[in-house]
Amino acid sequence: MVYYKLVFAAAFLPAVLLLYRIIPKKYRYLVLLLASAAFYSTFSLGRMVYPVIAGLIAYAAALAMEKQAAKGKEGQKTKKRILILGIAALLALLLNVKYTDFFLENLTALSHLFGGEKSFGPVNPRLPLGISFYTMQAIGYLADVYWKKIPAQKNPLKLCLFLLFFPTIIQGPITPYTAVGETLFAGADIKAENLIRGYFRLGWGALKKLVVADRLYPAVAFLFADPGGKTGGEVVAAAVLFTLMEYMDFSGCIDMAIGCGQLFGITLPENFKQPFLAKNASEFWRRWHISLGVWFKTYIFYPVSISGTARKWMKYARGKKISPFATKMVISAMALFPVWLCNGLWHGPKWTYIFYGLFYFVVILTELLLEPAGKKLLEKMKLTDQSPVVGILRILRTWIVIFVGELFFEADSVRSGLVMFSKLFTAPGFGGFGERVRAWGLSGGDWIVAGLFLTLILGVNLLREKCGSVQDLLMKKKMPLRITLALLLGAAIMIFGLYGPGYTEVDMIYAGF
Amino acid sequence: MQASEKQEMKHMVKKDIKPNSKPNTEQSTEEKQGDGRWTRECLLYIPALVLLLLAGSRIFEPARLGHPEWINDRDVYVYSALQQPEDTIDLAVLGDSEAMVLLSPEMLEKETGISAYITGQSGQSSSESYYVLRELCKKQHPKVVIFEPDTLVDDSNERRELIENFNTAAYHMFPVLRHHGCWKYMTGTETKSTVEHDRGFSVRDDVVPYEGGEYMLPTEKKAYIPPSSRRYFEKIVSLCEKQQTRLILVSAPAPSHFNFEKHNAIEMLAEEKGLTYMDLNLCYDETGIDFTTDMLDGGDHINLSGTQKVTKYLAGELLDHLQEAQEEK
Repeated sequence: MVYYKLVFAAAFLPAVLLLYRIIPKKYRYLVLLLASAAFYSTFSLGRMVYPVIAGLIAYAAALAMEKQAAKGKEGQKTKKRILILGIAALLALLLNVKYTDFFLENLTALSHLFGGEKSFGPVNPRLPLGISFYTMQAIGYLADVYWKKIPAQKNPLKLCLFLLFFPTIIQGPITPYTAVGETLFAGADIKAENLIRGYFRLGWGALKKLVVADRLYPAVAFLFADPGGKTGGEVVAAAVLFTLMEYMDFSGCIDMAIGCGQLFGITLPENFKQPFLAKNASEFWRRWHISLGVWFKTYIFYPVSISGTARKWMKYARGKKISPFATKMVISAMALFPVWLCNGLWHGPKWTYIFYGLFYFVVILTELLLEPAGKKLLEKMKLTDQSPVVGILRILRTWIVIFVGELFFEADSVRSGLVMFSKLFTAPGFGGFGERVRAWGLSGGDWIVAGLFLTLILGVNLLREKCGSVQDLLMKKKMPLRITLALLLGAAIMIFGLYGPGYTEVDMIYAGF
Repeated sequence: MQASEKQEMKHMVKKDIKPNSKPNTEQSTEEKQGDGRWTRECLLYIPALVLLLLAGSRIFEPARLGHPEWINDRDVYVYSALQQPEDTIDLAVLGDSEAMVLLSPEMLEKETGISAYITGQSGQSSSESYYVLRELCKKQHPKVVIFEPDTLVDDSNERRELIENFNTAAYHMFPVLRHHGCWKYMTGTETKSTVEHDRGFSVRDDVVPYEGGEYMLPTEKKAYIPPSSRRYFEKIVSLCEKQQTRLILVSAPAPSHFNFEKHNAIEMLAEEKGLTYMDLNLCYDETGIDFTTDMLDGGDHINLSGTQKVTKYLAGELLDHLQEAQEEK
């Protein structure tokens, strides 16, 4: 059962809302926990043991850290050891199911390289749903307790709910405990206004996923198959269409998660903020998969930036009179490298993802390096950062970075990615556009629908950039207009959505991570 | 809406006249008024959405639009059966893809004069079988119904079945959820031609032999039948009783996924309900099925040649059942 399934919207959600409404406030978090467990069990009852173990590790470690903290300086060392042990245990769970085969596969390749004949694995462990997401949340929770940002949760059931909460379990957003803890356990009353807000957000997400993302899937699948037989034009189309499909799929499912939260009065963090309006790669990552970026910034980038090694380097650089710019660059590289390596690895056990992460490491570092030169160039051309031309050119430049990154992200292997990329130069053009496009598997009607709704969704993105929350704007309008829009949204999904008998379901891209 | 606006205006006027009134009380009244407004609006959404679904179901109805071929490919055979003239079907075959290759109506008619129709669907669940039969019985009074019970023992679980059954009921209640894809043909952006078939049977003559070994190894174990699948099976039984239709269970030869545990579970169910059960996985000598020539896809389904052999074998049996059913009536 996933968010865009009829049974979820028409049976599961209403049942949970009703139960939540009739249960006393104090116990409402138990309704959410029960609903989350039921939701998870529709994927796998047995593998629910993983989030429960993660919850128990986080629970025990946080309480033990708090106990050590009460001892003052005396308990500091033990507290740190408990943190390391807790994080190691959580990572061990993740690494065991997600990366064992990747490790064995590379071990085999290495062994064969040196003349060995032995092959290792695969052990084919089945990935528990949401493990990459709740592991991050659990680690973040432990770090926050360690830094005394939050007190340790005394109720293990509440902590399990935080990790297992059904709107976020499949693909986030990776929610910090500080952002959601209170509202999650508060048991706020169900409000009609929140139901309306939730309806629109859920519907908007379903529209993105069922009408646009799934519609583009056959073309993307075709374009990424047989990379050697594609033209440069098709490679460009592959990168652009996959990026759009991924955005519609991922942001659509996040909209649905946020919408579910709104129904219960729980505010989940936003994960996207008009990413295609970013003017550089760093900004793109502040607008795309925000919760992942924030997690890496909080728990890797900052700690590395102020680590002993970073401080030692600064001292050394000062002694050797190395320029502040070069000093800053080295520290940035030092902190950015683990961030982007982990970003790549987090997406999955594939070299393409590692390549993707390191690609952004190189791009962002290059951007930092060229920043002073860029400013000088603008001054020379008598332009400023605020000039519209500069803004547009920067956006277009960022699009190229995004599309190239996504090309390697989706390619079967780094080699396939390189083959596709090389086609831009060795086989430019389309080579019979009409005939080739027909082979992509979309009918004329599909292209029209995808194009129209993409334009609408990206138009709403622009409105959001200009006016802030579109939902707030909508709630200020008169009721007849709102009901008309609600019906139009429902009708668009009902008619143009790809669901029901005769359609093959397209899995959510990030659910696999 | 207007009333609430007036109330808000009144409230504002009151606020101007009584500047010293307690702000907390005013806030809570305002909040209450706001909540009431949202509740009223919220309550309108439910009938509005139901009306939308009903209107959509009326509009997106291929037969009403005069284009039955616009139905999605999975439902083609069932939909075609439902469009047949009244009382022209003697025998209906329900079930998943195994049912779709079980017999050839054309050959059966030639051999016995029985007018049969295959109303199977790829992956048809027991709840779908029930709704198909219910719809079919509105115009037809089949004397015999064959239910291919593979769907009851297809390694599903109760949770999945519950979800499946909910979807089936919703699709049945609001057909637009099933037929919405025909907007493409209505707008002319795509065309669709009629799918050729012989009363629900399509010729599939590929040959991919079954190369596994003996698969019907006797055991006392029984396969699991999810309670909700069982519930819908019981509904099918009741419906047949009500319609005075004889229901028989026939398992198609499927060496790659059938086994004795499944046989035992279905046999027990048939005994419980007093139904005839023919397991063709135990009748290879009688049917003459050859794993090297009569398999479509390595043992999941029989091909045209297998269907012909099975039809020939079943013809006599079905004729007996049909006569008995007529005598009972």
